[in-house]
Amino acid sequence: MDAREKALEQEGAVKERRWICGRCKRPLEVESVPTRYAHGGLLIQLARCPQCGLTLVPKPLAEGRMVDMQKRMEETWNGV
Amino acid sequence: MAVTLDQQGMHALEARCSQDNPPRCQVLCPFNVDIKGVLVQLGKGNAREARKLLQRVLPLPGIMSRICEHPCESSCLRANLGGPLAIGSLEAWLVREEPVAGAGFPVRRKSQTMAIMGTGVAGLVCAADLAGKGYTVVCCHTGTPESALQAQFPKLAEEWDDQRGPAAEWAALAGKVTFREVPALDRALLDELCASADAVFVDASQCDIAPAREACDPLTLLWQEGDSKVCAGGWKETTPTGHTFVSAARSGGEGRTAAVTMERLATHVSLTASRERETRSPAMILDGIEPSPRLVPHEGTLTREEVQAEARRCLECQCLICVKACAYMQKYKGYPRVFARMIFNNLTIAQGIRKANSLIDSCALCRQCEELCPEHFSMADLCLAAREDMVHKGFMPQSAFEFAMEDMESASTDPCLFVHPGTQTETPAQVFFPGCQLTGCRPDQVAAVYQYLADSLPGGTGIYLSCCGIPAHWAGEKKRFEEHVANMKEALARMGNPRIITACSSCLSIFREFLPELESVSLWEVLDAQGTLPAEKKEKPAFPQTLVVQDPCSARYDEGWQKAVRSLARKCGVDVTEPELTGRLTACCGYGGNQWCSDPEAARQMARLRAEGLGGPSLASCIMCRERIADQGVACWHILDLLPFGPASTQTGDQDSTSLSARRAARAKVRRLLTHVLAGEVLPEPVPQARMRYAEEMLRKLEEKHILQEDVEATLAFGERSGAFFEDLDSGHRLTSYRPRTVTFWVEYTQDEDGTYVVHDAWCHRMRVPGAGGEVASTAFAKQTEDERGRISGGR
Repeated sequence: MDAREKALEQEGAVKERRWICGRCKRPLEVESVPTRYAHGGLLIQLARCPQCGLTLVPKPLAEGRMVDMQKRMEETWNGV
Repeated sequence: MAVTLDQQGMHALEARCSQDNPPRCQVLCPFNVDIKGVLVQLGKGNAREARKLLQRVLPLPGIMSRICEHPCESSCLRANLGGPLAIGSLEAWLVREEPVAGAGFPVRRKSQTMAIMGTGVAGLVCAADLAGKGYTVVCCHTGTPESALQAQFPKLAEEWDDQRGPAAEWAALAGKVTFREVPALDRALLDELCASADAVFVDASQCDIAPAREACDPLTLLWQEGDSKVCAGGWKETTPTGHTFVSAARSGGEGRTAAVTMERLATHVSLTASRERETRSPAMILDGIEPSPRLVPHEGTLTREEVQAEARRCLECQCLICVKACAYMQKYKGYPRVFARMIFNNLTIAQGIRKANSLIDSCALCRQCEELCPEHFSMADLCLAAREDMVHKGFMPQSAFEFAMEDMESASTDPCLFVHPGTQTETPAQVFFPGCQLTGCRPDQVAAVYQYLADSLPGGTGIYLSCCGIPAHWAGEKKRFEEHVANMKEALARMGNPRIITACSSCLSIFREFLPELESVSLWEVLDAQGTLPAEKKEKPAFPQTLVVQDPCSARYDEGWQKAVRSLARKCGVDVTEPELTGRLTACCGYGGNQWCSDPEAARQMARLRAEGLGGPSLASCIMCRERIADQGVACWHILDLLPFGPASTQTGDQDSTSLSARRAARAKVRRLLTHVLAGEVLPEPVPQARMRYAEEMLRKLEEKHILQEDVEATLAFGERSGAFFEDLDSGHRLTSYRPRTVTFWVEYTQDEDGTYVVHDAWCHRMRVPGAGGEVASTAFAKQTEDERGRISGGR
């Protein structure tokens, strides 16, 4: 795992303290979530409802490193 | 420009771009000195670097700098701008004032022996070059070794002992070659040298037995008739009055050419391979360059300040004509030659990172470079071919053009698509194809124009509301584009293949290229030919007396379009002025090639550069030009805003652009309007899913992120319906996500007391996240990805 991916995980793991699950009324817990894009995948630490699994992708992550990683996955895919 | 995506094709492409070619001075220098580099360093006051560059290629600097006629100066582009650079004076100063930089690399001694007959300038240069490469060199001469050179250039004898002058140079040379005095430079000597040496050079200025210039191969100077290892050079020149002299530059150059041939003879490699020198220099535009007077020669040594000032007059010849006009090329920090290589590497890479994806997908395909370039290098043809190749091979990034494709799809299907032959006949004489963006931005005017055409043109007028498919063409989606064209052909055939009247230059370019069997024409030419325009139905809009005209990039070759727009503007009372780059040379606003979608930042820079180029209130005939230029703070009217169509106009040139969501809604509105008029059918108006409120700033942000209001509404509705949202107990904000297609949208919102939803923030991402956007986070899904995790992690 390179530094960029590590940073991505940490950013996703920033605990979204202000949010609780609207359905289960439970505070969120950080979990390793297997995300997928194009032809690859990535484990990201994300805040998630421990009961129903509703998962939160914070804006700085979605518009920052996630975009970088999407671009990188597009650039490195060689049709294999 | 034909593009072949193989090595050979790429070399042909690269050769079109002259940016890396040597400047004119270097082309004329027999020693290929990087004169521009030397002058640039001198201009920076960096004499040591300049000296390094010079000694890398100039033979016998202490001698050559004093006797060279400097043909380089004759081609200097400063000639009419204060006089050519005083390259000769600067070179002489540099050699005299700056000591030799570094000792150079030690050279391995070679076993071969080279013989030189005659020590004129050609013979000496040949000897110096070969000795410098480690060969044993024997120079045969009559008289003293230096007498021949001094006789050729009497001035040298006077300056012989100057600082770092001929004497020092001679001493250095004498340490590397052997001088052998002979009674005569005759046939017997030549025969003897041919027998003993690996190759022989005959200095024609010293040897009567030398062949004529014509008897030697012009590329290699190999004597064609004699022994196959003899070269000749250094012939005397004759003036028109019969006077003979030796040209130091030409003779020295021949000495060097012969040295290369002799080395190749001795090492048995091709005498001719890779020896042609590039003779084409970078194209230069001299407009706007201020004259600056050439250094005036004077007694005594030049000062460093004088040298620096003179060197700074160098124009540093380079082309970059296309780059200076194109914000996209500026953003990617290169020029076509470099881009061609990067793109080719990107397409042929087997493993590794495709770094040029963005470069390929960001070009506006506007063809301005093609028109500006003296060799017509087309980034458009190159990037389009690359895109088609990427789509074909399946390497096209999903994110590049997807949003543009969605917009195309939306404009070409229900509830925006509308094809009707009009009320007169099933096979009208013409059909109005306004173009989807104009329909989206000027719905009322488009409906009014249709009414006018239907009322005033004979033979009936149909209407065709759709996208022409150009986003798919631009995206390299050949198959999808062909399907779209086939659909259009079918729809037009059902109306009896009428003449197509379109208000969009991109649509027109598509019809002319891909439906050439049908007649197509611009709305502006049709209106201009009508003689009188409809009576004023709306209040005369306010616009400035003078407008700068912005030709659309897709109409750069369409003189009919350009003339008609100017003529109509004049009929509306506008004085039209031309920007610097206009007509065939016009610049793109950043919409072309789907640039707005694949690289919004480059597209913004394109719009900014164009808006600056227009410099004041302007007149566009492509609605996207209007929208994007107005967004840059330069008031811009569309030609339709000047013409008396539609209701009382509220359109002003500085009005912000129409949002993507509003454009979609407007297309559906025109369809409803015309369906009512033509088919008497009342289509239902769309019912909003919920009452929504956005801050003005929020709408702008959504537009930048390519998030449609309908996506926000669908996301919110999904969250409320499913109960899948997060809650902030302190502020009462809710946060929900929805993935209707390949994008997951997030919306943060609250609900007012009256039930109106207030949108506070929204964002989106393409990655699929289990547990978000409606994706299940169930164990099954988690398990499945768990299995893949090993593979994915292993692959990382």
